[in-house]
Amino acid sequence: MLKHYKLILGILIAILFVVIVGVELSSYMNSKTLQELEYEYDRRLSEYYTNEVIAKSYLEVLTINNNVQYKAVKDKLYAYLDGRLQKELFNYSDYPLQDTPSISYEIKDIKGTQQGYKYVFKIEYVVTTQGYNREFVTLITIEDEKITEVSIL
Amino acid sequence: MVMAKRVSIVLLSLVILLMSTGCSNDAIRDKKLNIERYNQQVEFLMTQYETSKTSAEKFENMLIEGVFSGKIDAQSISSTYASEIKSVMEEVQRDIQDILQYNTDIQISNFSMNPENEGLVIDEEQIELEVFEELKGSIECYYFLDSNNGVVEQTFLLPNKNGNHGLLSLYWLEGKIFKISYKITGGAI
Repeated sequence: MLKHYKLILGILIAILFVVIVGVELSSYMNSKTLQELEYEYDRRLSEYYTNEVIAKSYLEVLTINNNVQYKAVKDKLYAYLDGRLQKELFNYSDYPLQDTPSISYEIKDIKGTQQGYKYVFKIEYVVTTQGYNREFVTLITIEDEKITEVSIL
Repeated sequence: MVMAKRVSIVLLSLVILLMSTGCSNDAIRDKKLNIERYNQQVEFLMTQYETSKTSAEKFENMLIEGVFSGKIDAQSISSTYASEIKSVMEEVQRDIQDILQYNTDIQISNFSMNPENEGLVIDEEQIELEVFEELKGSIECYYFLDSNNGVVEQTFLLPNKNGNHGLLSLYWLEGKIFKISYKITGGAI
């Protein structure tokens, strides 16, 4: 009986060993394929998506209505602005901002295009404050992951 | 008995190893699938963009010329949407003629008001031509991609009064136009 038990166990271990070797081998092959795939990751739109996020984040400036919000937006956005816009938007940090009614916005549509090294995004959005809505279209130009120009059309 | 215990431990360890390898294989397979799906999506978007942009570019100059001359061959842009294109373009042309007249009047008035031009005859045609060329040169054209669906929006930024812009948009998919819109923007906040 014990002999049989040992034999069965031996066979089981052998089978498991073979299965494990097989699975490990396939895992190795898979990871190799994955590495190749990651290398071949289609990056043609990677920059587009990165810049789209930056363009969208610009609209946060609309929500500034007091000093707390001002600081929060500055922390989030400052690094994405070129020098001129940094000064234009955040040069009055020493002066306390008066509380104004809160402002919110909703992006209706965003589309972008590449022009040489620049990306231009056209954002359509609705700004709401005190129940009052207004639609805007804004062109945001980004170069080297910095917002260089903003045109409210 | 001790032997059985040892064997059980070995067996259990092997089963755990097998399961963990299986799980990691599943994760790799999922990742592979995601990458393939993403690559297909990018390929789709890029193909859509190139196809539509190539088609739309053919009409860029024709549209700019047409906006000023009042002559647009809507049928050649799209036989399906010819009537919509014609109707929108008529609206655009009315606004352009309006701004042309407005800017020409301002130029003529400025000319007359300038003391340096006293005694000189106003060449209205020349002024009109200059305004015309200036407005034409100020038109910007963009080819925006909607990364959600591959729609390409061919947008013309046209001059308008009071610092506003006229936005003429032609929407393209698979190299064919399917919508045209025109609106005057609200200007700065």
